[in-house]
Amino acid sequence: MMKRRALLILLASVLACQTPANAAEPAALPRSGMNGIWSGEQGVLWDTSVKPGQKPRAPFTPEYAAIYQEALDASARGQPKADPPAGCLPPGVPRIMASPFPFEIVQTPEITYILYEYMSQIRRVYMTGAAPAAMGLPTFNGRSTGKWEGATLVIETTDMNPLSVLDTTHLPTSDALKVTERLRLLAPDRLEATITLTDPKAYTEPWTVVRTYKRKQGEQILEYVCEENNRNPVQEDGSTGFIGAQ
Amino acid sequence: MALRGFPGIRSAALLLALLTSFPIAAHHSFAIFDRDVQITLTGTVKAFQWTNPHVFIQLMVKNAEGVDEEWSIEGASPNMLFRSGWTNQSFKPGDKVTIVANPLRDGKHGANFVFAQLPDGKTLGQLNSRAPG
Repeated sequence: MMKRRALLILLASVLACQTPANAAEPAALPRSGMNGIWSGEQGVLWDTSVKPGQKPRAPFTPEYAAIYQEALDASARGQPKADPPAGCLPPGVPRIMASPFPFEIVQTPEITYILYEYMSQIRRVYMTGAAPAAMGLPTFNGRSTGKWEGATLVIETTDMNPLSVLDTTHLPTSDALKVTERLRLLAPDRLEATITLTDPKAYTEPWTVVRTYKRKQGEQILEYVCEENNRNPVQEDGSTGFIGAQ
Repeated sequence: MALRGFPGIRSAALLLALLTSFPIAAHHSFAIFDRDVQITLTGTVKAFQWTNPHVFIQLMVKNAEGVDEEWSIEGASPNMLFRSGWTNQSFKPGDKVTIVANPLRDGKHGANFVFAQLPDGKTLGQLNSRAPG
């Protein structure tokens, strides 16, 4: 009996010694090298695999090929379809990953935040469970969950607002769109995002593009308030205005 | 389209022609400008709007009758321009400048900034202007 009690006391004291000395310190995040400010290296057109001036290689379904052609024709007539950001609507996911303005990655154990300069957009990537339901409605930035596969951050995003397009050529997606982003460091100052769009209504197969981002010395996130002095509002007929020219 | 005194204008025009085979990165509002045409506006700065989403230079330009007309010349976001060496002092009221720009298709006095010749003689572009001092 004494031996067993002594054993229990010994066990208890051993366990007590395992308590972290300073429980208030957060554990170091596993991939903090991905934190910081990143500036895109490709242009704003979605398909980074083609040269500016070439048509994007979207594997459109017939219906969506026609929708896109209609947008190209309208543009050729000098009456391009209104681009949502022209009216200060956010670009949405995944287009915001093609932003010519930088973004900042901030990791916490439960959420990876991506803070964008453009229109002060914030994405919350939920790392330990499902993303909240967000009133059950689509949103511009969608609902994102993330997990690490080795050193690659894999983000899955669903429930995006189908009003958004992929770039200024009015590249369409549908309400069935799912986005998978695989983020990894190529070097301490270079981030790569492999972005796959899966959209059975719009595309006959998953469509992947690759973008890279540089960490620039001394970069900061500036403010961008679209409504500050927007002199190019979208008119009722969908055309773009120019306020103040007589 | 030769513009004497502006070296590089021909190459800029050629580049533009190559890039317009498919609607490129163009910003939403570019459709309202005629990007095949460049006009030269020489005048005095009335105001410089260093704001998002686009900066504007308000320029007083004498018309054929010698009467001042106000032109609104639109540029990129100040965030981009700041990273390219511009500041909110790049144009000041009273500055005498020459600006090359693409005019509005509807003929009104608005245009899209291409580059400027500044009072100190330097040329100021948007993406690769002179480095900050």
